[in-house]
Amino acid sequence: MSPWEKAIVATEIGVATAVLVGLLVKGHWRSCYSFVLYLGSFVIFEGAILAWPGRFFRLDFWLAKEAIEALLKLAMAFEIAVRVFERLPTARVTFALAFLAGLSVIAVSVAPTVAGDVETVTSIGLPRLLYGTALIFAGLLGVCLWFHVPLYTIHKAVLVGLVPYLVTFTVVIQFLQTFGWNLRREPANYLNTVAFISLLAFWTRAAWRRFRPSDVSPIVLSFLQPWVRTGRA
Amino acid sequence: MWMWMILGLTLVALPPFLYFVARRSEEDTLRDWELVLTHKGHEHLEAVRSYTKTELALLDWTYERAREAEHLGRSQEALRLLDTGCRLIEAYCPGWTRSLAAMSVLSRMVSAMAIVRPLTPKAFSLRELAQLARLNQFVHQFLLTTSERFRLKLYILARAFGTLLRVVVRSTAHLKARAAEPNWETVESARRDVHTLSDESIETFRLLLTSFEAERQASRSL
Repeated sequence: MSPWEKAIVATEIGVATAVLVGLLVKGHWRSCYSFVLYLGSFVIFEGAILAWPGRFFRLDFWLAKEAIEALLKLAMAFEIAVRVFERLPTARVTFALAFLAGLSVIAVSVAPTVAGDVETVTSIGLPRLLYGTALIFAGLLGVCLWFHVPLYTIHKAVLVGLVPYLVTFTVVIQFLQTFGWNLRREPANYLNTVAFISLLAFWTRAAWRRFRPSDVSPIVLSFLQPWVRTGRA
Repeated sequence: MWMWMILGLTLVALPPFLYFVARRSEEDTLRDWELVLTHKGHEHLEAVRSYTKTELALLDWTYERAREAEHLGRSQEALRLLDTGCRLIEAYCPGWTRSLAAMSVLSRMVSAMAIVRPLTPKAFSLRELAQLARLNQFVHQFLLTTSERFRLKLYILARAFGTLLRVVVRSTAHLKARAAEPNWETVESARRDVHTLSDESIETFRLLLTSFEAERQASRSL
């Protein structure tokens, strides 16, 4: 692990910690538990890589980390959907069907690669998993738009941030698979790093934003966002 | 190769989609829900009823004065009053078109809409609007859910207001050009049809509020 790579990982851990602290201080953590878990797991895994690079800076560990994070991302989509569509049965059924369809597509496209070696899973299985997850997030946004469902600040930041990032990550891995993992590794890595740090910075801004009580009727808020507490998320 | 094609399509479609999502104000979206979740909806319905009543009364008054002036041989005054009446309809129709579009968005929030009745051709005097009502009756039979039927009716009503506006604009142009005697029959038909369209639109709005209220009560009892 080069000093430059160490600096990048340290920066990512630092910004992710800032998001976590922001969520805890401002009370937004209650609006999406799986988001906190996702950030926590990211900090722990990346921290392990930074502290013991000899042991954890390996492709199989990275793949296991990505698999766990992908599951947590799916959990985030599920939790946000459960919260925003809690009292809206039509929207809930529509998203449930889209979610199941997305999971089926991911399972069918990723399953044949799982039996292969680590490199096959990384170069073929992972982009499909990432793209499928991005589609599920985009689907959730689409259902919210169609049914005119308002989104809570953190939910919107998670969805709007993750969709382009996951697509960028998929493009980067697909790029490496097409042009060779050694030939064009550097620019692809930089693109992914810039995209991820930008995503974390965007989340930091959302997490530290002051909670502004809405002037909308409390009846509407208790119906659509019952988990929002007065003065805090 | 196919993965690159999918990614290419995504990269084209994603920026406008995200721009649209990011531009949407969540506060405004929440406020839209006030219309169907609080008493504001009924207040708004009453305000719309009252506004429509006033506008249509003014339109009727202008038309009757124009008719009187025509009987008394004051053609210039009759033309001026008819022109004013047409302008009133011109100003009135776009407001309803916008409201019907907003109702269409709000209707997606309702899972079980109350039974929707299609427009009846007999209720309209203008041939173009009667045809639209016939189209509504025909397509209505092919739709399965009441929500789809509701949105179809909203679409037909919006088209009907647009058609009515075109008819009125044409009449105004004729009046200005003094190319022919005013077509009293068309103006009278437009006046009657604007009443019918307004009544149907108000009834549709009432139906939307009733359906949403029923759904809320059902979800509370679960």
